[in-house]
Amino acid sequence: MDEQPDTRPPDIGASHESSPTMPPSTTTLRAPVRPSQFEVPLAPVPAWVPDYSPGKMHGQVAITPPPEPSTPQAPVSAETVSAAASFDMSLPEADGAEPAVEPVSSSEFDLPSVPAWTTYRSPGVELNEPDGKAPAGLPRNPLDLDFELDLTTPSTEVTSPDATTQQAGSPALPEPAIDLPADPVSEPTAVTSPPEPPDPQAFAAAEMASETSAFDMPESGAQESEPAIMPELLSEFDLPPIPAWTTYRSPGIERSTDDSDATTDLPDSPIDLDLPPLSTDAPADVTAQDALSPDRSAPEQRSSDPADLELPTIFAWTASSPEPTAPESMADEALLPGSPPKPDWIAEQAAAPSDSDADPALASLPSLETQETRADAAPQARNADLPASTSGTAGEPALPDQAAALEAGPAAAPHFNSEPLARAPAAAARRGIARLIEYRRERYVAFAPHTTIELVENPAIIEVPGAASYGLGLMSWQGGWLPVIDLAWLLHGKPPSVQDAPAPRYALVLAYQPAPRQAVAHGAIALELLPQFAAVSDTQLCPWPDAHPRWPQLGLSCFAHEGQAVPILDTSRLFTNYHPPWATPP
Amino acid sequence: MNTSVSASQPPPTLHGNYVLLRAGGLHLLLPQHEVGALEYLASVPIPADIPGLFRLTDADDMQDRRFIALSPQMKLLASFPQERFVYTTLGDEEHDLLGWCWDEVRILPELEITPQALPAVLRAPQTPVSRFAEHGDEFLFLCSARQLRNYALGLGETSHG
Repeated sequence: MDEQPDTRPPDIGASHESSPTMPPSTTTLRAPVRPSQFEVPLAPVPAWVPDYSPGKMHGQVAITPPPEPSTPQAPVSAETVSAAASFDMSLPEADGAEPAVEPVSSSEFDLPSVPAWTTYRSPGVELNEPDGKAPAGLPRNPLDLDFELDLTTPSTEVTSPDATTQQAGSPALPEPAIDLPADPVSEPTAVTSPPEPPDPQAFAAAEMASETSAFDMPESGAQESEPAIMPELLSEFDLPPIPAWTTYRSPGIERSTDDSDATTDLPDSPIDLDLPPLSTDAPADVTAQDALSPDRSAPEQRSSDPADLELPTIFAWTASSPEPTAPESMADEALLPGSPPKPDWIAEQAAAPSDSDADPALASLPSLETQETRADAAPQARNADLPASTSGTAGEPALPDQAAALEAGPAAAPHFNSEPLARAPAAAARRGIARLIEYRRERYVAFAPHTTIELVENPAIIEVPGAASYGLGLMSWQGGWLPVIDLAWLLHGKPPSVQDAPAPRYALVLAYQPAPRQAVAHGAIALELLPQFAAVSDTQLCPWPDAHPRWPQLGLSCFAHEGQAVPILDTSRLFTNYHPPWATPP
Repeated sequence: MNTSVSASQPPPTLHGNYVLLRAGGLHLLLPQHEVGALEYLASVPIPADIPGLFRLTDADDMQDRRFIALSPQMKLLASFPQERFVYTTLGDEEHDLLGWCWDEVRILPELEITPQALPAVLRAPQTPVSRFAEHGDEFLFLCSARQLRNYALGLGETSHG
């Protein structure tokens, strides 16, 4: 039930009057009812039906053209008669039975009946107006873009045969269809001569020279003032509607880039978080544009199994990735969402046999089909079963049991990582992309790129009273509320000196799956620096950076990057449960 | 609507009489029957002998009352905010003399609200709130008087219900 702000005094009185000791019905104070305008005794509205009741035949029915309104219920008083007379005086002098329409409407919404529409029209339409003048005081139609059109085609008014004919015609009322404003987009050739088709390359160069990038706000006013020319050419250079400067999205969530319908386009299925097309043999020097191949966003070419969301290790992920890609950057990702031609290395790889076929060591890695089967058989081990399941199929070498290593605690973590390291040279050419997060000064963790959804600058966070020590609060995002946590506080504890949670500079929205076959949920981590990309190969596998008990709980694997061990965290383990503080902080 | 938790089932809608208690940026929604009498503060309470508690002597019955002022984190404040001008009890006999001071107390009769569960990653065992809701422009945390009292006074863990 909605609160009743009108019934309560503005400050102190409200709280005092609404004492909880009183029943709810008594707390509702009603404001004194003001006599509305409908309660003021007004003159009866003329019903245009003469009243022939006795004693009223001498009324204004016989005097004025509009008959006197019938008031059978109320007796006719002197006040009523005088009011009715004054009302009759204001009536237009029309002979018809209906009141005349106001000649000029003060409402901006009565545009079809206002001749001001013709003020900025193209010449052919303007001549159809009976008077050709716009009443003063009417606003210009903001949607009328023909004003620019007139400037570009000054000769159309003279050469148009229809315009000449109608100009010499009778001043009859125009057809209603002609009253509509001319649409330069739908019929550009009827009014203007078609402009020269701009060269697409020159157009693109001009666009680049004007520094209009994909980060331009969609609501920029430049679109209104620009005439609608060559929409088919503009479509080739359509840039993604970036809702804000600070919004970067991962390639798997392209269809939710428009914030206007973000609530309806939210990924509600694990299929929405498709397996990112991580590279298998992408050369390191491939540009970001080359990485944006059309296959990246082709959902039919991706696996729809929810197990594909998981990233057990970066090595198994690269082995099961069907689509080769290359290193990329977030900025290029937002700038170039189109379909550039495939780079040469993709075609070469398509023609050449795969690495799994060529290298027997790589063939031992689990295939995509095998992973799906295992995910169906043991969904509870979804975060640990894919690369290291011991229940390998016939003919497939058994891999170390990662789940058992995770359960064994931190001591087992080096063993878990050391075994894949033994066959790392065989997979030296494989590369993957990791999103690097500096959660603390010179401390890094990594996430799979397909789990990093959006970066929000200066997030507004509502603090949750009594929440977990590492929890900053709730952040509004796409119609919902996301938990925002601080990784530094989670991994190293909240400093006692910190009383109020500082507002982070960024919040990185991460996707996770609370349970197998469940819808994708989202959480966010606080950041002070922008995330980075790092190309990771199998040779970079390394043990955990230290004996922190959180690494086996939250981490999937670890790789060495610029002399540091960077754990890859599992977003599902990060956001699904509460993390109690450990006994002895590292 | 996107939710950060599992959206397999729509969250249930609550209907009833509630009281909105506001203390700074803290907006709590409690069932009305768990909130006791509402009174004005005659003057600003002074710190009591126990940190976090304030006292004020009632002019009528010359009875010494204790008061509590909460922070947005639902912790006891060491200094009494000037904005707190009303107080309520939380309906328990044992702590009947303990007044909880607020900036605003608003009765919301026949309220119909659809709360959402607090994400699990934020929900510690001692967290007094388990659900939250939006009511107009306000962001409300739902809790019971017992959860509020136990958490603020450190009487023990709260149970999420």
